Amino acid sequence: MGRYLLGRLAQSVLTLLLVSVVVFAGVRAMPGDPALLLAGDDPDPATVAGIRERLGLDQPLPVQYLLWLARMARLDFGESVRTGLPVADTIWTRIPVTLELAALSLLVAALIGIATGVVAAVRQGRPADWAANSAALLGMSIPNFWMGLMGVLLFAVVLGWLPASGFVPLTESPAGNLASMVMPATVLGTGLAAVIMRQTRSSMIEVLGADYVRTARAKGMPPHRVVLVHALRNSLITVLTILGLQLGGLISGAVVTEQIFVLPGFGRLMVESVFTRDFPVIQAAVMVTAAGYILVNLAVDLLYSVVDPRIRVRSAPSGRGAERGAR
Amino acid sequence: MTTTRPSEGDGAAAPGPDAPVLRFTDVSVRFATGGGEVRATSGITFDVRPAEVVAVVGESGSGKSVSALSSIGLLPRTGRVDGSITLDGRELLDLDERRMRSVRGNDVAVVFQEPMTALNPVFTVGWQLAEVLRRHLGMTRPAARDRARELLELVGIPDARRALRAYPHQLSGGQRQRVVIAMAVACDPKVLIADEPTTALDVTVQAEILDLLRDLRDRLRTAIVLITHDMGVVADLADRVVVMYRGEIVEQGDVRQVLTEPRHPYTARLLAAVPHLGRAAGRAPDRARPAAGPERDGAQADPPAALELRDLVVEYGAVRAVRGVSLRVDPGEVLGLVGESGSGKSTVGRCAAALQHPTSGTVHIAGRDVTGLPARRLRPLRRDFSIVFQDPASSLDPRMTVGDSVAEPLRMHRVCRGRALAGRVAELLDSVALGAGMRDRYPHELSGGQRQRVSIARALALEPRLLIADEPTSALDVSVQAEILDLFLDLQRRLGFGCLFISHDLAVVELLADRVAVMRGGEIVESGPASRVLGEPDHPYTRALLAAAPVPDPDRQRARRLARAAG
Repeated sequence: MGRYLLGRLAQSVLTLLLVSVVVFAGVRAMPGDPALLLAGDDPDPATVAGIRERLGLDQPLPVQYLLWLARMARLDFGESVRTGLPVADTIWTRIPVTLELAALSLLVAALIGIATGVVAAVRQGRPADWAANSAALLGMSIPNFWMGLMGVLLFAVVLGWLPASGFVPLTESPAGNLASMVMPATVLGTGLAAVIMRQTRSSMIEVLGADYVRTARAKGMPPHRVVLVHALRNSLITVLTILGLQLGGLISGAVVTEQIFVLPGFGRLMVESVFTRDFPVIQAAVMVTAAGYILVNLAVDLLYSVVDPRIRVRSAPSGRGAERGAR
Repeated sequence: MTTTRPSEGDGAAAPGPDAPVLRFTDVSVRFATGGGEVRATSGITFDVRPAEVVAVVGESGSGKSVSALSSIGLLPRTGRVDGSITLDGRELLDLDERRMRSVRGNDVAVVFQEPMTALNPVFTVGWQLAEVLRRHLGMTRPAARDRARELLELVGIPDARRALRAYPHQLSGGQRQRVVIAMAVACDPKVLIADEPTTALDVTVQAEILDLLRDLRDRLRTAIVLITHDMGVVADLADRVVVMYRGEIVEQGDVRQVLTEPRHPYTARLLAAVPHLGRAAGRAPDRARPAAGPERDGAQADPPAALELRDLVVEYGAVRAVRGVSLRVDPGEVLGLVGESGSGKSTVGRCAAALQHPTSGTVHIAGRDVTGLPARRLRPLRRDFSIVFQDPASSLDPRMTVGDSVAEPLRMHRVCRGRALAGRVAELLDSVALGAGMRDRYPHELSGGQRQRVSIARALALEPRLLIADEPTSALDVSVQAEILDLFLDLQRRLGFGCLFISHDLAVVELLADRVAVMRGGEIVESGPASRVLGEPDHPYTRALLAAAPVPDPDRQRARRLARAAG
């Protein structure tokens, strides 16, 4: 296990390095000189040159890249061009909001998606299956922003149950925090729930046809136990993969959702910084996002072995192991 | 599943010590399909007494599993059962789903065919055993755990305490089947339905599992319904036999009578189709070996071997699957390579077909060294050899018609085209006794035997000098197997290709092979002329293999079993 983990970590570091090259190159390829931007409205060449030197922009690109990388490694993301505040501080204040949103959305998505997926699989080909599939198609087709706006209209404007926008920190008022998060999390979660439902349904149908499910029935186990204990855990293996891969969708979804509900999160930060050409913030935000994505997928890989004992590392590699790995 | 019964209460004998425990009366099963109802079985009537083993035999699709599983409501939802099935005089078909659940696994338990997949991979063996005990006997967790350990000991699993904590994938196939049996007998069932319990196992393991079932029957007085297609297994274990054909019982009676003096022609045909160790002896001498293959490149003084392997070693990581195998297949000769699962025989086959690079050693096909050749340089040489796999259902492209599948190698090697190609395809299909009408069919429209005929036609399209056949008949019913083997023998004699015939079935190998090589643990332990190796084996392992294969004759099988137990 230790060796496996080390290998995976090395792989993750490599991925992150590749991301950093892309981000660095991308930002440098964007039109506009950061030094000019920093120098203000009426730049005098000496000031610009000074800023250039201070930011290291006068160095050759590879050197710049390495210097930037070295600072990144120390979590020193530089200062925001727009506010002059350290980028790290800005990111740290924004991340909890998005993390909470992502976690709650994932919870909503998993609860709805797995539950309806199981029902659809058990009732395959019957009205419940049909309804679940239609709902999933609807969930996938409706854009987040529209669903968000409709939610605001119904729950905030007409019914007045939930705030239309804004964010209450958890430390200030847990109830207020939850109220401000319910709608964004539901909006963001339902789209993802549709994907999870489809995946759960198809893997559940496969598992329900497996010999060991027949064995469980032949043992006299009641249907709920056959489905929820014997079949569900086996079908979760593929669902987990989808959860990890959907995180990317969750992040881009968060950008939109945070705009609609005016949440001071990471997604909003990214949008704001792109509009104001706040390069240090963009760079840092993309790097942090990539790191988060990689970490979550690493966690998913480790979770496999919790769910499926066959994936727990064996002493001798065998053909069957390779087969499973390829799935 | 729904049930209807015309009458009720009649024929339920008063339970006595020897009264039938399970009784099928005029049971028929129908399935609702898109195209109307399909009758799977009809008029099934037979009894099972305590401590009796009743074998239900028949080929795939004969309805033998469906009949047995209908007793505990394990049919697909579209199934509909009529008639009467009683357990100790109690009508099973009237039970609602909840009551039926307390019968399943408790009064009537099932052992399925595939031990590899019958256990849930994500739970420990102990957990799965305890689940039954807790459900039906209401045991507490610790009590169930203790009882689970006892059950594992009962079915002969060494170090039961450790096995409790093991996951299914950590056990061998035989051990898994023991666990499944332990689970089935956990609640001391009145009836055990064993659905092809040893079909997926090696012969030596099969013999152990059959011994275990016999022992449990004697000790627990469990009645056993043994569903099987293997007449050797029937002879070994059964007291009575029920023969099914196309959904109906054509014959039933005492095992000795059915196997030695079958009354129904179908039974006789079924028995005749079973390859029978010792029956084919003497086949080899009448085969004058062709001096060379069909005259393709003129007469040569000394034709090279069709296949020659020297010191073949294959490693997967730290595992040595093949450790120094050398063998030779002469032109026009059939070499039978036998061994149990994991012996490395299929790996040898893959190396011989140049589908896998050996770690070391050399592979010569028709005199040319193909060891480690890159795919590009190997491609033209592939004319000389081809392979037939075990499962014809998955080795044919489902989206290609039969004709296209057979024509593909001819097209790839640009042998012929247009009308000549069509003619050659027709000729090939004809040679495997498939009509030209088959050409436009897709694999799913064919039976298993027909598909395997297509695979053979395809393999022979380029008139190879070497054919590698990896268990080509193990997925087929015995009567179909017999046809395919006949066809194969005929083609081999006519075309004179050399053949490496890989099989776990000694009787099949005896039927075909000129010489036999026995593999175990990646090594060849014995090889020589078929009649000698199978008739007077030198190596103890060959002897054990031969002794473990059951023969379809109850008296001979009994004698063999006793001899095996003594030796």
